[in-house]
Amino acid sequence: MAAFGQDFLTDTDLFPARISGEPWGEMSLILNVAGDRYLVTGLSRTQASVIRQRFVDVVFDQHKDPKKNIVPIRIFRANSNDFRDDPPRGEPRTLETLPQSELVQVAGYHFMALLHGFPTPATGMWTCETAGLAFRLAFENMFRLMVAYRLLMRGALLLHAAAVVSGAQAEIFVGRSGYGKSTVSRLSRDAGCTVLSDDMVALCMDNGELRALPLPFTGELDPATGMADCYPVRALLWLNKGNHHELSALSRAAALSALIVCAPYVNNDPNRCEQLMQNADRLAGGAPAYTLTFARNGGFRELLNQRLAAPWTA
Amino acid sequence: MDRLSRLLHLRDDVRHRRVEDEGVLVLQNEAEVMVLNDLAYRIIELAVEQRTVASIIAALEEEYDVARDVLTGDVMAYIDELTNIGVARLTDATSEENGA
Repeated sequence: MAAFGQDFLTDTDLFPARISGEPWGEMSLILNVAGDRYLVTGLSRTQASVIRQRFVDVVFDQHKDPKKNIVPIRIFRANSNDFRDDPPRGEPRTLETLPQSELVQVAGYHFMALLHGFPTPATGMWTCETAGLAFRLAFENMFRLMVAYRLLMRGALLLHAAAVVSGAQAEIFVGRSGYGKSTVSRLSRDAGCTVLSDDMVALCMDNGELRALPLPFTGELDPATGMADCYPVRALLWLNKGNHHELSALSRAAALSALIVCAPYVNNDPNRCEQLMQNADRLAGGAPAYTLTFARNGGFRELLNQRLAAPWTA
Repeated sequence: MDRLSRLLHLRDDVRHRRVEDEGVLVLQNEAEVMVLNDLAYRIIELAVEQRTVASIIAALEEEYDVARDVLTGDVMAYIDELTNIGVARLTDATSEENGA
C-alpha cells in the first residue's frame, strides 16, 4: 500500500506534526464563505493578491463582526525540494488525505496542509508557491477541503451539486461529474433562472428550513452576481440523463445516499462517517427529493415548475 | 463447513444507518452508498452482532411472518450478494473462537 503523500512529497517523513512554521509574509485577509469567516494569515503580498483576485466577492480586510467565529488558516513557507515536480497522473487538482480522529493530513501539488482541532478546525498550509496560477490552485485545493470539513462540523454539507434559483427558492441538482449539472444549469439559466453554482453548493438547516448557501467554487459557468447569503430549498433532485423528462419521488434513504455520494472529501473519512450520515439524514428530510430524468432541452423546467409548485411538508 | 454455521462479517469500511423503513450502507473505500429494504438492513444489523447465518435466520423468523424455507432462501441469496460484491464475508465460527 502506498504511503500517504508519496505522490506529492519527496520525503513523507517531513510532514509537519503541528501547525507552526515560517510565514511567507505579514499580509492577512478574511474570506467570508458559507457563514464562516476564514482568517488567512502569513501571506506574502503576491499571495494575498492572488487570493483577492480569485475570491473577490467574499474577501474582506477586517473582521467586522467580532461575535462571529473565526476559522484560522496559517500559510507557511516550504522548500520546493520538499515536493515532487511531476503531478501524478496529470491531475493537478488531485490531492491525498489521511484523516485521523483529531486531525486531517493533506498532501497536494506543491503543498501540505494540516486540519487540526476538531470540531473547530484550524489549518496550517505549507507551500513553496508564491504567486500566479500555481499558488491559486494549491490554496483553492486546500480551501475547498477545509470548507467541506468546516461545514460537516457545523451540521451542514458541501455538495457536488448545481443550485438554481427559481422564484425565491433554490433547486439543488445533485450528481457526480458527468451527470449533467452544468447542462441543467445552462438550460435553467436560458429559461430565466439564476444559477448559484453549476458545481458546488453548501446545504444547511436553519430554523428547521433547508437552505442553500452559495460558494465561491464554480465549474464551467460563472456564478450569478448579487446573490443573497442563502436561499430556501424547494427540492433535491438526483440527476439522471435520459431522452425524456420525468420526476419520480426518492425515499429519504435514497436522498440521504445521494447526498453522501456527492459530499466530496468527507465521504471517505472513516472518523467522520457517523457525522456525515447524521447531517445527510437531517438535510435529506428538509425538502422533497426526486430523481429528475431529463433530456438535453429545457423541457424539464416546465415539469419542475408544475410539480414543485405545491407546498411540501416533511 | 455448513454455511449456516458460519459467521457473517461486514467489511471494516462499511458504515450503516436506518432511515425510516429502509437502511443505508456506506462503503467508504469507494465512497459508494447502497439503499436497503427493511429485511436486508435487518440482516446487516444482525451481522454486526457477530452472529452465524443460522442465528440470523432464527432471529428474523421471530420478527417476520414468513415461512422458514422462504426466509432462508431470501437470506442466503442476500448474503451471497453481499459476499459477491465484497461488502461482507463468511468465516468459520470455530476458527474465530480459536483466534485464527
